Amino acid sequence: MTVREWVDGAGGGLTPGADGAFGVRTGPFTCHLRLGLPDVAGTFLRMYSDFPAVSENDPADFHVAMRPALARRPFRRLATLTVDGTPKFGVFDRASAWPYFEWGMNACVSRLGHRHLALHAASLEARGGGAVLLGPSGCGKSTLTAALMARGWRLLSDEFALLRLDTGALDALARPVCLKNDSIDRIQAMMPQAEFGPRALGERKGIVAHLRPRPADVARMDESAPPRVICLLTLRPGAESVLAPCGRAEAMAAAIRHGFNYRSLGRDGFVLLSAAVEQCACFRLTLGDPAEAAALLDNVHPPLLRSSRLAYMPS
Amino acid sequence: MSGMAPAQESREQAAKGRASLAEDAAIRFRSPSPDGLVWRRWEDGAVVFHPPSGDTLFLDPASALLLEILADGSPHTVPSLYAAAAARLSLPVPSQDDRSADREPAKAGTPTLVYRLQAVSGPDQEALVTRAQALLDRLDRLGLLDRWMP
Repeated sequence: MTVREWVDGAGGGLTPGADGAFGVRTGPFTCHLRLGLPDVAGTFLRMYSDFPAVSENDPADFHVAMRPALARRPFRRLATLTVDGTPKFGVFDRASAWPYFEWGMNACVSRLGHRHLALHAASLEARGGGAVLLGPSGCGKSTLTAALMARGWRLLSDEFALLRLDTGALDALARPVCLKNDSIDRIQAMMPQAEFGPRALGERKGIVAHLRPRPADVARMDESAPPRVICLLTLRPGAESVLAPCGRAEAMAAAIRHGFNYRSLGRDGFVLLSAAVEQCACFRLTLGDPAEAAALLDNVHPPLLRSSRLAYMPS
Repeated sequence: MSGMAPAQESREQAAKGRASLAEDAAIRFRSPSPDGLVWRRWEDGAVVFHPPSGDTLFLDPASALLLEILADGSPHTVPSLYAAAAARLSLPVPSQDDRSADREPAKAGTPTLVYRLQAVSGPDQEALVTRAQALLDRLDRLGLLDRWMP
């Protein structure tokens, strides 16, 4: 049963809780939510409508709650977020609550998801092969992810590359893609049918808006993909996008720098990551125009079935 | 200002260079746990995992070669290490009476280790030589090297 079916009452057994209680599964993670802010609960139902709903009686990997917070000054509308009962981010403006919810979900995966080797990277799949886009925050990972989605690539995650400890394949989360500032309009122009969440001021990141994942991305989120391409990104706005091969040792070094839990996994992490690097073609990508960069990457990704590409299908 | 004449200064530097050369020749290195290292070698270098510390080392080809030689477990002095590296690279092995430090006093103040490997592998290898110096320092900090005076 999807969240939409649950809300429509089609499933019968599950009903939304009194204070915005939801259960949802995103890829391998199950999460119980208590969204005590009506506008956040509404956005959640819109952005996550295609995801599987889970019962509150089922076990969850983590619990995220968002509540109104008392403001000392009148007319200020504030909120707080907790992860497994621990406050995260302090108090923030309710107008920015949606991005904080998404970042809270990211924090759950990065800090608690130790069934995977988690890298701070975007990951996508096309023609049966996974691609990992590595780079620091603000280097254009999410924008390039959306540009590749516009070319038919399947979204795994714009924030994580999750390598399974058992098979080394990339797992998908298929959660909304966080776009910032100019990228929002640029991607909107590239994908006119795409749906976006509310625009909000996201502290250091400026204006942020989340691209709703396509129903087909969500429908295939249980399909993992073997990693085939690793790409190290450098942002050069206005410059020509350039794709050049790089060595595997360099790619491995970059992947380790962006690992959330590489050191925690010890030898297993090394063996898993080096095996992934071994089977990948590695590139350095200077990211100027995202559409141009996406075309370059599209050309080098393993050739295969055009029919497996996803078309954007609005719900 | 040291107040020392340039000629006297360069003579003293040359003497320091000879002293540290002798010191390097006396110190022996070995890798105490070569079996524990997990290696992955690629065209642009090697990546080595060191289980006791959880550290991962990124090595350019020359540094990887030096660690490979160290990881066989047998003790090496710096000259014997470089001689082994030179043999694997098919380069001329430095002679015992190498007096290049005396001939070029301006270079005598540079780290002896680097200078010696330059003598082995030629000036075009300078970048790799510098990496090798950094590698030995790092291995030492990780406790991957035993040093002792025989």
